[in-house]
Amino acid sequence: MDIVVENLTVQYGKKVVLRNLSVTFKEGETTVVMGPSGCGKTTLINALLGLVHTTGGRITGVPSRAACVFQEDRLCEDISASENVRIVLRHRSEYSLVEPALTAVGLGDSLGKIARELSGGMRRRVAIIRAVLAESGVVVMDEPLKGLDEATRDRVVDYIREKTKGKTLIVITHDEREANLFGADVLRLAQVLQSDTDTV
Amino acid sequence: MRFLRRVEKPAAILIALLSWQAAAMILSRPLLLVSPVDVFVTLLRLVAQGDFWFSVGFSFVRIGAGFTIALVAGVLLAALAARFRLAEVLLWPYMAFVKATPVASFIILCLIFLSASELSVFISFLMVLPLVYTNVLTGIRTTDRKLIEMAHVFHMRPSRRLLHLYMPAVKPFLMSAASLAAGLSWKAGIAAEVIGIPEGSIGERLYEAKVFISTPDLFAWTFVIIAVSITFEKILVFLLRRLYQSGRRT
Repeated sequence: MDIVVENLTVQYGKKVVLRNLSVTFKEGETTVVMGPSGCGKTTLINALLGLVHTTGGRITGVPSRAACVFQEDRLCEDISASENVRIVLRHRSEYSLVEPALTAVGLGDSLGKIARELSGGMRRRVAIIRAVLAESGVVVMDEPLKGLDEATRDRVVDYIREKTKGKTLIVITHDEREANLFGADVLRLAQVLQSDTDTV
Repeated sequence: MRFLRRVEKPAAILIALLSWQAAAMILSRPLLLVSPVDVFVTLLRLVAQGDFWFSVGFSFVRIGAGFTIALVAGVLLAALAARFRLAEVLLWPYMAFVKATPVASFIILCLIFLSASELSVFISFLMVLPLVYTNVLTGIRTTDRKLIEMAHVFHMRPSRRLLHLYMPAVKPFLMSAASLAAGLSWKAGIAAEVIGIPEGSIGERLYEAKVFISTPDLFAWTFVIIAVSITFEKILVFLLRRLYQSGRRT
């Protein structure tokens, strides 16, 4: 089922962050959302995830289970990299997927490291693996490649593309090169704000 | 530097004891100020008696029971108040009343409907409950909202939320409350025993020391209370740390 956003308006106090935004995210496809800082990219995904109160419009088709790489890593600081992934998994049988997944993005030596001891790039990768392995109908990633070097970035993007095949994936970035890495349709949020409707 | 740090507290205690001994010698009236040596001798005599251990056990069990019930109730009520605002509002007058009322008023009031031996359990409970409740509630409220959102998005199980989100946030508040409340429960519990005079309690022994104007006994029992209270606090902190460690391994 496509995720359909119709005339979405989000307001923080008197400040309108999104006004009458209409967009469709096609089921099973990847969409990269681009736009300058402050144009409402993060607000859009927060609205999709039901984390902000919308002032107007409606969103339909969001699967009951979603996964997300937030702008901040949002890891539990006192537990290990593997545990941070395991705690979002539904079944014990999925635990065996954690080690190979973390190893695939270069964290094989840091599986048991406590989150607060991990570097920024390592934390980011843990957050990505957590979102990829969690059972979900849609995966939303807000600046997922932030803090990763070029070689790691390519490796991580390949991993994300492979593992999210068939899932609806929404990636937010403001970097044109990062957007190209995903080789997906690009939704430019500033344009959406200017026009009334856009469909990806 | 490290050596100095290690010896500074024992040195301070030694200086205090020497000052006390000097003051007792200068005053030379053991009824008013007994010397630390006399207190130590009295303490040795008490420890050798079977009654001593019975009294310590009697008070320890009752004050410990009151403390434990309050700790559990305080944590549960704080969780309830954090979840339902109505519960917080309804609990507020009770907590405010208990916090503001002098312990002596409670002791006298409770003696009307409680037996002397139950009194220290209830008084210890009353003194600890608001402290644990308030601190744990504050701890729950400091839980990172962004982590709560993350748990919501990922449909994280309630048991995992409790273990990995709320328990780490509450930990410093719970440890500090438990540590503070341990001392408070002993002070209030012994006060209740001194007024209620349950047979075989530390409070009764203190009361007897007062009645018979036995200053060395009074000082010796006071030291016993301090020692038992500190031991109780150390055991408690140890157990809470173990609880957290076992939680992390789960």
